[in-house]
Amino acid sequence: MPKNKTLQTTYQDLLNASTGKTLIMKERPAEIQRTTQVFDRGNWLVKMDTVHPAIPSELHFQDQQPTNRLELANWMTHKEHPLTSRTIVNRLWEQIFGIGIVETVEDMGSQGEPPTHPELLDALAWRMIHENDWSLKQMLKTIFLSSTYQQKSEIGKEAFEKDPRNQLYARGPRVRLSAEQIRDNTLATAGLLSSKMYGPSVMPYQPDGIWVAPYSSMKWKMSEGEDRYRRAIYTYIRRSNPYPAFMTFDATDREVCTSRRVRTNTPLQALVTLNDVSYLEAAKAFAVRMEEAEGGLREKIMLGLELMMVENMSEKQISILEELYEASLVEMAEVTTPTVQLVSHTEEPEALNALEVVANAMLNLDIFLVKN
Amino acid sequence: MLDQFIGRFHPLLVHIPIGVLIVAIGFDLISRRRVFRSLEPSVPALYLIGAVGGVFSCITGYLLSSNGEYATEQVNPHMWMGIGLTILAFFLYLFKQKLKPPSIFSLVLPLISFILLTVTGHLGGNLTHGENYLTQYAPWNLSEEQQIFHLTREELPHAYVYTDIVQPILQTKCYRCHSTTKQKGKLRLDEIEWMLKGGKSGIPSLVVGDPEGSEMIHRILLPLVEEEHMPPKGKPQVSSEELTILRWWIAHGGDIEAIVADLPQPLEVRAALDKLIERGSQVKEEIRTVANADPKVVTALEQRGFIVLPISADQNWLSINTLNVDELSEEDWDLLGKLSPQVVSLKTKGVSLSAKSLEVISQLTELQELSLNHSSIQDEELTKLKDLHNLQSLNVTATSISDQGIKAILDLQNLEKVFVFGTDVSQVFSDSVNDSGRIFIERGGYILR
Amino acid sequence: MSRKKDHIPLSQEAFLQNITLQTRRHFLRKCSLALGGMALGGLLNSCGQDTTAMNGVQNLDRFLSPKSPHQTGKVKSVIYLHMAGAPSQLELFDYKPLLHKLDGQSCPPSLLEDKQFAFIRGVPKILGPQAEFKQRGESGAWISDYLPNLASIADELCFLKAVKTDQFNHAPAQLLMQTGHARAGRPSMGAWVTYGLGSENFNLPGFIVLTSGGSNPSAGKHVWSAGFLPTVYQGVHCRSKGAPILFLDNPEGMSRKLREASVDAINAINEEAYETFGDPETLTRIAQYEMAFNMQVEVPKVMDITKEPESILELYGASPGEASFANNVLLARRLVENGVRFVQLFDWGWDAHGTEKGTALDFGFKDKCREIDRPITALILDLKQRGLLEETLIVWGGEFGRTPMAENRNGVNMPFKGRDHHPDAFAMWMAGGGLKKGYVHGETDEIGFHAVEGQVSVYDIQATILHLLGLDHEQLTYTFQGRDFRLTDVFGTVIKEILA
Repeated sequence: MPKNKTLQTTYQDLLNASTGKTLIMKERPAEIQRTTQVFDRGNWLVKMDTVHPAIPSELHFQDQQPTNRLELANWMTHKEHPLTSRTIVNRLWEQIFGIGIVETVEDMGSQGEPPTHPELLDALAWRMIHENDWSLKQMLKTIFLSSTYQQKSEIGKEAFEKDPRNQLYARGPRVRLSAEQIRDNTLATAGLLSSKMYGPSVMPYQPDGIWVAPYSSMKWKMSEGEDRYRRAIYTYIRRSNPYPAFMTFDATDREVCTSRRVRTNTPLQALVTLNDVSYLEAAKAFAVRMEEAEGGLREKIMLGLELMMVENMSEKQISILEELYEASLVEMAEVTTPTVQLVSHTEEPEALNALEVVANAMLNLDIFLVKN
Repeated sequence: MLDQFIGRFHPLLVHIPIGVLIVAIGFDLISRRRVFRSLEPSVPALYLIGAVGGVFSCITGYLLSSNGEYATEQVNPHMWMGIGLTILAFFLYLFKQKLKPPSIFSLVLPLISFILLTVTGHLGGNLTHGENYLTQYAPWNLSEEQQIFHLTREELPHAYVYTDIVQPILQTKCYRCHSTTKQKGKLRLDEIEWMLKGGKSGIPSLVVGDPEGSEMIHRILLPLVEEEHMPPKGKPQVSSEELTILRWWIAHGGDIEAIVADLPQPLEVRAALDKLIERGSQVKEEIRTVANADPKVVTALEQRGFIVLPISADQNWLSINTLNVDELSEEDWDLLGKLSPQVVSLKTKGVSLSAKSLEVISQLTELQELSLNHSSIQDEELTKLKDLHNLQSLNVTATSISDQGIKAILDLQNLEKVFVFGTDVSQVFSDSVNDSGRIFIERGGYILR
Repeated sequence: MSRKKDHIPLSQEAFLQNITLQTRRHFLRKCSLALGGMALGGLLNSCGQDTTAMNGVQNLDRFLSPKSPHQTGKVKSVIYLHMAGAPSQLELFDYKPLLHKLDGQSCPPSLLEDKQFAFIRGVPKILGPQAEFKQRGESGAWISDYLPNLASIADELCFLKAVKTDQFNHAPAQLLMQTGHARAGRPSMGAWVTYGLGSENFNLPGFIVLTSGGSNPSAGKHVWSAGFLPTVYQGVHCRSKGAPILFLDNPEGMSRKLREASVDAINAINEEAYETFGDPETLTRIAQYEMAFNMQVEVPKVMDITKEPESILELYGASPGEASFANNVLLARRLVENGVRFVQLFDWGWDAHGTEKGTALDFGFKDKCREIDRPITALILDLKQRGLLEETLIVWGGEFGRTPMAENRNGVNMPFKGRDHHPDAFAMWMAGGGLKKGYVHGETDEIGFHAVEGQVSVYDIQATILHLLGLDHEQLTYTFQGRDFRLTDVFGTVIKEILA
């Protein structure tokens, strides 16, 4: 307690200040620790031996007395064994290549699949500990800069027959983006993505009638301004009513721990990226962005492709987009009642509308939804 | 311990004298013919080798039997016959080598030793594998459970719980190692007294009124990977119904006299009894089978959007649904015709039928279900179905069929139901057919007040 | 895939033709060949898919292509009518004359020993049946006058009068009934069934959920979740207003023709991408966009009950345009007719505690009964006249039953007549193919408190539903987190007694 009166008040104020609260796990003091007993064959009514926290003796690790969580932490990050770093590296690999070196990322033990490239896994695991000092960023960089990753993802017919799932890594990965990635990528391309970080979850567009539950007054209230376009990770998740667009793209309802999502390909996914208001807004913004390009339609499309980070679009593919634009223009002109859905801040609302149709199509392309 | 180690070589060693002696006897007998005379010198040596092998077999066999796991009354004949055979083999060796016997002996003795050999070997096999082992799967045998458990539903209430239900279970799952033949772990389960006593460990297998405390139940419940789990891994396991019955019997006193009706029967016990009865009475049903359909035809139809599916995973009969096909072309019907041996169900909706398609339908003689609802079918076209003798159900709802058309198919011997909702079939007609009983015409048109 | 192409301006026509004839058709042919091959692969693997194979090339066909059942099934599809909130069996099917006599008397303490209730506290009073009962049809099943129409077809029904569940709160009990587990996270029955049998209609989801009564069931979307199964097996919740399926409608201003042009353009470019990358997944994506485009027309067509003739609307008591149970039931028939595998209806509002007039057994509850009586009866009759009843299974029930005692929430008697949750014995019924008709299985004691005969568990019901579809509940498994899971966990026996 400081002696100075002013300091004392400041100290008191600081102690009583209302700050955000974070829950942390804390070990119980020795005198009130619970006894833990083994249940006889899982039957909680029959209690067997009393057990104490410790590192499994199989692992031959003794760091300190008494054994506690610190010891476990020390064991996990100990340089003498690769178990932790192997698991991490394998999960990173799965994120990047679509399939882990050990395919069953949730189980690297005897029940799981054996690794396809055990030496690689060990080398990366070693590097993770000794060179990268557990830095995930460093590790990711290592993988991204590898020539394996930087290969083209073109699949030859023969190559596909020999190795349909690319577990020999003779080509670069080609996997569909995850639900969250698709949203973020689309918003970023459209220039809408908010880079705002932290804070409570937000409620982006969601169709009406999703949250209808008895005995609950919770409402989905769409967030205002840039909060609508925050990264997918900030989207409010209610387990009994998960965000529909994510669920369609194989996100889980978070009831059970899922370390690996099954990747599906369904027509409902097409409907999301074609018609979900979030994606339409993105298409609109994307069209406005393309509109800014100097020159004609081709230049606008080229700018769009650049923003989508799509390279090597063939002449034929670009001309298909151009034709779609023309067809849209014709169609728009045909409709007697002018469409009202767009902000007409150019001289030719039809032209922007047509461009929006093109933008919507571009954001639905296979090359955009898939990592190449 | 060492005696047991050596003893366990017995089942391995016995094959030496068996093999060698069979060769010896064979050579001995056929060398009497001139063509095989050259074999004769080898015969004494073979008998000698067989006899020496027999000595080792006897020693190891004696050591093995000394562990007490085998019933003396079963072991004894095997042991004495084995010893006898060994002596006989020595005798034959001496005979052949030294004595040059009269020819009558030289024929009889080898035959005797052959019989002895076979019987000893068989007894030994019974000891190791159990008495039913050899004939268990013989075609004339019902499966073991069926053979042993043969109560009918009517007999059940008066059946003895122990003798008629529990004992057959123990017999199929336990007696092979724990009864008269063998007493592994010094345990016998064929008498209640033995069960109460338990085996080597001294823990009683049966504690009356306490299934959970009974070692027998405990062992059955242990996970399969546990060393102590019974029956051992790889042997037929106690099914969940059998377990339910065992617990039930133990819980209610482990009584020999009790009959089924005496004991309370909770739901799961009744279900278990039911299942056992069913299994006992199961007569293998003759299922009609058919060859696999041509996969090329199936794939071709599937690509057109047809659903072509075997009616179940283990049968080749097909059901076909045209739900996803807008219009059926002539080629489609051609392909369908190729599946006529297999198709038992054809469901269509709103198809326009050509002469061709009717032709194909008339050939689908295996059809049991046919749905032509909303189709263009006409009264006179229904006559085309007169050869579909297997047809049980016909759906012609929302078509222009009338009484006339239906009359044409009433002769189909297996036909049970005709759905004519939304057609011109009259109430009077359908009532008259329905009154006659065999075929039911569903005319629909329900109204609720 | 036939499309009308009238009134298209010349320039666009040329464009469309270019794509349609040269690219899409030609391409889809290629596609279907490749997909055919994969579908075959899917068939070969159909059940017991190993999780390791789940991460490679995936497509809808592999997941939803129709599959043969383990044994020959009796029915092809299921319409499950779940009365969320749990209706009272004592006012509908389980007639207990003794309750009349005991009405108003205090409940004997022996009944209350070791019992836990959701709301009843202290010593409640017995409540007599609030409805008039009669024996109906040739079978003589007891059905009350709350369901007059259903009573007229009693001989079509197969009753389970002694169902027992382990849960006495709505959400866990609904989860147990629908997913075989009282906590969320397991796949629902419809998901298991579509996983086992696939879907017949290529333009419709295989598992569709329809809700009425103004609210979703208490357990939320978990009751039609895919759990740990791939998300394609999740129930698709069709909405009664707006587009029946989320994101089905094109945005305002986007005509069908324009959507066609845009889907064609997307697919044409994707085709080029396939030429470059050779990824079969791209082929599947092309097929899926084509299918999505078809769904935009097909789904509303199937969902549009205005297409039904007046007589049928009248039969169901359906009036198009509103969110009603009757409309949902009629829709269920249309869906089943179109090859949807599992149609799950939830009707909220059956929680008759008697806390207010709306939840009183003689007011709100009676109204609810009137709301469902006609449509359900109509459904059975309509399926019957179309020849569909024999290949459809209808299941009716709540998540638990109701106590013979009147509710006395927190020890205070309710102003209206209501009953508390009761998990130990309640009634459900089934109708359709493979079942005995006009049959009653199970019996409760004199006051309907406990089963005395023919008790069945929730798992037994699930096993029986799967059995009727030809699926063996012990064989229909999915490996997750190191072990094989199944709908019935380690329980369940097929209720043989009710099978025809």
